[in-house]
Amino acid sequence: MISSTNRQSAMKKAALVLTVLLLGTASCVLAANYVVTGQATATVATALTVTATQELDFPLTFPGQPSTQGITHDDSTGIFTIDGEPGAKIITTFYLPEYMTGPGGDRMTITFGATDCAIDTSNAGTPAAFGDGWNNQNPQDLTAATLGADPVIGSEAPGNNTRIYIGGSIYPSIVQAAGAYTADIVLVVAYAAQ
Amino acid sequence: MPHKARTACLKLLLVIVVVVMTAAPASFAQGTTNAQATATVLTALSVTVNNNLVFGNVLQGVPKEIGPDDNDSTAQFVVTGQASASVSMVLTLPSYLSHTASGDQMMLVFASDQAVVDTNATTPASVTSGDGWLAQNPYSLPAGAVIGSGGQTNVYLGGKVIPEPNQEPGTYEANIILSVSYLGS
Repeated sequence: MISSTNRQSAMKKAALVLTVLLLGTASCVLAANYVVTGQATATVATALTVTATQELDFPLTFPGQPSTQGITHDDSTGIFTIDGEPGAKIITTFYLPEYMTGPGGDRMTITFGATDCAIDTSNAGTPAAFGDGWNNQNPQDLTAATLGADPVIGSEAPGNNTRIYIGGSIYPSIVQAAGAYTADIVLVVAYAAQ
Repeated sequence: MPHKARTACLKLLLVIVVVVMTAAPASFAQGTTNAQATATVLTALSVTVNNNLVFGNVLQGVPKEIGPDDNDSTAQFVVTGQASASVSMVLTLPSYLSHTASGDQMMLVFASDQAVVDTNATTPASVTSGDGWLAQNPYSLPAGAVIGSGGQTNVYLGGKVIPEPNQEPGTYEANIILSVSYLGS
């Protein structure tokens, strides 16, 4: 007759053997595992850079005398240069000031007309000799819908860049304080979905 | 029982045990037969990479997605083994790619329909629902997956990279691991 203690001992042994068998079986499954490693690869293309190449510089003016600076002056039209992946579509957005600030915080109105901007994708173009792209555009609306397509980074060697020309008008009041006036013109550029 | 008698009994018992032990081999030798253990190990599994998941050129700030149906850019794994055998397949997927020089990270995501299991071993662009399982979750490949009747099953995988607007230019890489094992049926 098997005592209770012996029965418990036998059950423990059986459980141990079963556990060992299960572990053995599991080991076999793991051993049959086949593994392969593939890769995901990507190359981030040329970084975008935007440079304010030339300031929009208005000529000397008198109180009460408006002044306009067009987009065809090599030495005074505002010029931004955009470098990046040649041929890549971009989104360009201007944040334009409504006034310039002068001596003692005096303000002078500045405006930008519907043809005060050009996007030149050629390497050889200048404000005075526009190359390729979009001329006489509204700097307030450079969307693809208005332009007919997304502007692109120029792909003409050796520059592979795009330049944006901007002009504007100022309206000094008759009591405008004499002195130098400045304002920030902000151009934001990002790659568009290609 | 007296001590002498008990000693005599023990000696007799010892003699009997020795006789039984001596006799035992003789009794086995009288009836020998051979049985066999047999088994056939079926075709071994093999897993190879036929094509990496290639995103190519990516622009800063512009996400790019490669579907599971692009013959040139979709990741393609080839699993060969015993025809029609059930297998377990598990993809271990990265959550970002690393710049090969600087270690800068770029987010990599896998949507729930970016994997395909093709038991007819066609191509990413030509596989149809009759070939296996389309639009599968790569984090949970089909439990009923099998090696195709031709001895091969392909796994196709797409994905999406999400570069930051200031993502560092250069080459990025990440490992994608496919583990396969027989299920025994």
